[in-house]
Amino acid sequence: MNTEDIEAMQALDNRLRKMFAGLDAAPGFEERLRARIATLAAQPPAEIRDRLEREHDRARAAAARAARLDGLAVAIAGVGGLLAVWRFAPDLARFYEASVETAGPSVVAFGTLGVAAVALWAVLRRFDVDPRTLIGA
Amino acid sequence: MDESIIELMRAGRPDEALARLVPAYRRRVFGLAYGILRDRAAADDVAQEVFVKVWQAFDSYDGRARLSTWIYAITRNTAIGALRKRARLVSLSEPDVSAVVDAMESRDAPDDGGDPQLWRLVDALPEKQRQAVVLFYQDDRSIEDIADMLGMPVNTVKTHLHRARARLAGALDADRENAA
Repeated sequence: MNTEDIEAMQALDNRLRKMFAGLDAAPGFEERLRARIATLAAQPPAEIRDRLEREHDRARAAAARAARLDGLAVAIAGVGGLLAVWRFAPDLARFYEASVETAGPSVVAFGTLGVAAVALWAVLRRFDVDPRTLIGA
Repeated sequence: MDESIIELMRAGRPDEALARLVPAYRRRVFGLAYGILRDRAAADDVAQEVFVKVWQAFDSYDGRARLSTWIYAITRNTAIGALRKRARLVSLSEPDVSAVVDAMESRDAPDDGGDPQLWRLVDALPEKQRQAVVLFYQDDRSIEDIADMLGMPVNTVKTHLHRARARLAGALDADRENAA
């Protein structure tokens, strides 16, 4: 490379430096960026939103599964209870008569109603039903 | 500088980290995006998007790569994505991207630095040569710095830069001879 070439290259370098010295983002870049980020920060990030949706879906599926199992358990208990009553009807009748003779009919009636009420309350609570709503309270 | 930014990121102070990061990297990110897109408005949009992505991804920065390398990779990917998106707008296939962008771009009217002749010649350079030239002359960066920005070996950058200068000098000579 001769002196003329070297000088031409230096001149080219200077022109390029001058040309690119002002190559920068438009004025107000940082203000615009801050405004954009403030908008984004005000809403939940997509990842958080997605995670919350996934958790919500999982919880909904688990609740549906639990409700199915509970329904099945209640049905089995109901059928079992009826079969037990049918199977042990004579024994129950004797037990009832003996209880009435011993404690009196009122106590047996209240005792039976009390047991039924406790069982109903337990079932309703299991299904997240507030018993007070059934009587309009 | 990078260490203090990383400390802020790890301390869960992304806004403060970004406030330090933007002035330090704005020109670099913009220059890198411009070298790929050859359009100031598009490069500005990409630079904004890059910093938003960086801000959103602070938690996922694991420190395995240098902070600068991580930011440059995001910049290159975002700029290339923008280039492809622009090409898709005219419904053309992948191999035609460069040709389409070349054809559809009306050149930036350089509003600073003047020298429309040289802008035209730089724009006509092959992609990698142009990127090397933009980054080298924008802030007199070192070859190592440019290699990091472009994600290529130092010697490759030297080659691109050498060929670009030779090509520009030759084109200027040709222009002079034609004018004479």
